[in-house]
Amino acid sequence: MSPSRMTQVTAVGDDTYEVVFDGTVEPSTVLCTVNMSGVVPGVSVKPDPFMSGDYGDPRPIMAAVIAMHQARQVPGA
Amino acid sequence: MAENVQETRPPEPPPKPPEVPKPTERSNRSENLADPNESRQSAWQDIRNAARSEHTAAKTERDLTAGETGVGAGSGPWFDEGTNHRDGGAVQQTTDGSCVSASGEMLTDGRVTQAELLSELGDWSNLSALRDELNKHDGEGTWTGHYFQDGGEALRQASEGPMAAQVQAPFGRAHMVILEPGENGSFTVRDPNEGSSYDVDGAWVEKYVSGGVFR
Repeated sequence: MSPSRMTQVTAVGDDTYEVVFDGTVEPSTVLCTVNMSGVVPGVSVKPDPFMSGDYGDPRPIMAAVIAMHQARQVPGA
Repeated sequence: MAENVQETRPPEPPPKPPEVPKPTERSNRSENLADPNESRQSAWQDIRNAARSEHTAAKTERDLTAGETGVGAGSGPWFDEGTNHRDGGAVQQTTDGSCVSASGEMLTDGRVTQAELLSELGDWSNLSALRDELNKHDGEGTWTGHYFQDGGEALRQASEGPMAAQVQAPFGRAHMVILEPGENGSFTVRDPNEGSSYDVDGAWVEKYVSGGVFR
């Protein structure tokens, strides 16, 4: 088992993104759903592996997903 | 069909050299509804009232540290950076991995017990599963549970009201506690690790809170 790091984010729906990790930790792919309607933006994850600590701090991952989501909302993007 | 493929990397790469990732099946975890047990709301209210009394009394005394009291030892680095540590004020987790379930009991003021949640979620659960389980009890959409993109947004959300907060330190197992906003930018942490409480500031929230479950 080795720590995983994010290698790719792919949009798979209007607000859903597939995040791929390297390393030997499972799962190596999770689905992230962006919620922009709250006090602050948030990202739901399924399956949710981040309690394990094997993926490090999840916040930079969420920042990448939200940044991609926001970029897609720009007219003409 | 995928679109807008983008490669990104987190700022602090771990030491392991990259390997070719192998796609896995997406989880379709099935979680069963628990039969509602008798409410423990009044009992939990007693705990909260007792904690408030202890808190007030403790503010007149010196801060206690983990080394002096043994309270919360083993919870994580977030514990050591709290102040005014005191016994009580939290539901103590019944197993090494039931912090999520214990936090769920505190978040619902005892309406949903740790035992109920633990039977559904199991040990070493996560905030997403807790959100889903609480929504089974209280109605879809009652509870929100997600991760934040940075500490500042974790702090903004935490300032809105009680939250079951996932706290995390680099490459260690995360933990779940209850975070309640107080006065002058302070927060009370109810840590199920040993059923203890302590106070933290906004910088602590920004540093350790990666996600949460809240109304």
